[in-house]
Amino acid sequence: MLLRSIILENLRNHEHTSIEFGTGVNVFYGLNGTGKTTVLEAVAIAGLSKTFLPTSDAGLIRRGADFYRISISAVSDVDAPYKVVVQYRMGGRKIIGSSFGDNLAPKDIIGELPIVVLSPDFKDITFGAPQDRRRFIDALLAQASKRYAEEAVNLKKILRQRNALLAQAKMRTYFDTGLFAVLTEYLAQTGAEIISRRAAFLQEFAPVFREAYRTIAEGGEEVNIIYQPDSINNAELDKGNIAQRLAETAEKLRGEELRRGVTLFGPQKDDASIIIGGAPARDAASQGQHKSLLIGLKAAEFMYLRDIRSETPMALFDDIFSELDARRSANVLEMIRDSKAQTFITTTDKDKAIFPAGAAYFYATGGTITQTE
Amino acid sequence: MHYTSESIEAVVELFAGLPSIGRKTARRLAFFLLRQPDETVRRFSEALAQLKANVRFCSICFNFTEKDPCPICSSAKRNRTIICVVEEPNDVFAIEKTGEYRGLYHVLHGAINPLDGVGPNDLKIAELVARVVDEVEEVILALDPNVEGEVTTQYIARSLKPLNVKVTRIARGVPIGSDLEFADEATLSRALESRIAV
Repeated sequence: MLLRSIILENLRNHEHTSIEFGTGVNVFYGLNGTGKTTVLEAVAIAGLSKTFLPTSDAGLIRRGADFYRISISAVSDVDAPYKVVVQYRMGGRKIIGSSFGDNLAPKDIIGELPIVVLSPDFKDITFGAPQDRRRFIDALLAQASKRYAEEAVNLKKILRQRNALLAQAKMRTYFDTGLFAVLTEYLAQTGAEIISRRAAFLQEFAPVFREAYRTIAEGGEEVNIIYQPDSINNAELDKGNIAQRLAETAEKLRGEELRRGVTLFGPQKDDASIIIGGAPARDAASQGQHKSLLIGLKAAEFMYLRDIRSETPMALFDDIFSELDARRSANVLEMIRDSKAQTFITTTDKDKAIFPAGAAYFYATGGTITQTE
Repeated sequence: MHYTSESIEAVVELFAGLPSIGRKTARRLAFFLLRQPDETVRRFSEALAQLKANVRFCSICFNFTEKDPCPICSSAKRNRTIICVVEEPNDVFAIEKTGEYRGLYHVLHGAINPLDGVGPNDLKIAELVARVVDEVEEVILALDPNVEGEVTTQYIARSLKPLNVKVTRIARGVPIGSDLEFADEATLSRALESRIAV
């Protein structure tokens, strides 16, 4: 995928910024707070429907304005044009239109502009809680499969409905056992759909991750990523069996669920264990190994997405070269060059790393972007 | 706003309360009505008054009707062994337009949604179960293809189980007359799953 141009309107400190991108590496440099990362966020919003930073849509609107809008023009690997416009007005919902239609839902555009984001904030994937790893897997699978994105949205809705019913039961205001049974079965079935897809994904993803860790991150240790679904043994991963197992778990937990007024089983409790040298990375990895693991995961995400979507993803690197040593930086840049992926890099110092010849440079200051030599 | 009038503002306020109408459109509609002949506006307001006065629920299928039972429920030409269950009166309209369905209807007036406090007892589900007597052979569930519709479908199927009636649901698949490449991927994926032999 190749981004031709972007227009940012009222996004953070950008009032109206229009950029024509280079086809290879695009380097955005300038001091902190000048609006470099906002360009990457805009690309992420157009591709993933939301920014990779923890900001609400209202928080993204430039002070004094009441909406933001991002317009992108791109072409696919086979030169098919693709346009997308994402707009958010204070207090409203996101209005999304693309070459495929108007009034789209976020899931309709996710995956159309395949994107891999690497930011120091993502260290929680290897460092943090199970939900950080789930978020990584869910975001990746949502780009890989529209069906997965839809099932994930359904799961969220079913959980909200089931938890509402359990909360009412706990308050002793209302409880319909028939309805509870229906919601439980629905959760078991949608849960099985998601678990079997996550399991199949990690089977394919683990070898790609091991290879990426060895070559790009230059790590010597054996690494792995192993799926740990809640209340299911990894051995019996067939959709029907999983639904059956989830239903049995529900039966066992029924009393406690009713007492506590909340759902206690399902894929929203899964984890994926990242292993280094035979031990969980969370406890065993050094600072340097955590960085290598993250690079390995992100490089593997890039390769996996490229294979499954038959489209070269775009790489967004937010200020990563301040965190990486020279050797790891060089490896990452070499991977970019070999893959021919269009890449967007932010850095405070453009001499921090040796960017490939032919890179386009953009200077950011006070919410404006100027192309430089 | 001294350059407008209380009467105009009152109408704007009412229009703006309608679904999918914002204040700008509401104002435009109000000014449009002002420019119409008195007769048109009078017919408009009479029609509105009669809407509430004359329209009520059919006591059998709970569709909107002016005479009870409704024309469909009282028609001798309809097949009384099949009941098609829908969420809203609008859905009856949609299925009638196909001209292919000759059975009866049952309107639930919503879908189960515990989050919004809508339980089975807030819908016409007990009334449906009561309708399924000997002559009814099949109940078709034609609810919206979303989480709430699915929960309601399963709940009704469960409630009807002891009655030994055939319960079916409408298929999910690809829209007719458009190209396959334009079908959304989630729908296409489900259509592949429920493929049939030819």
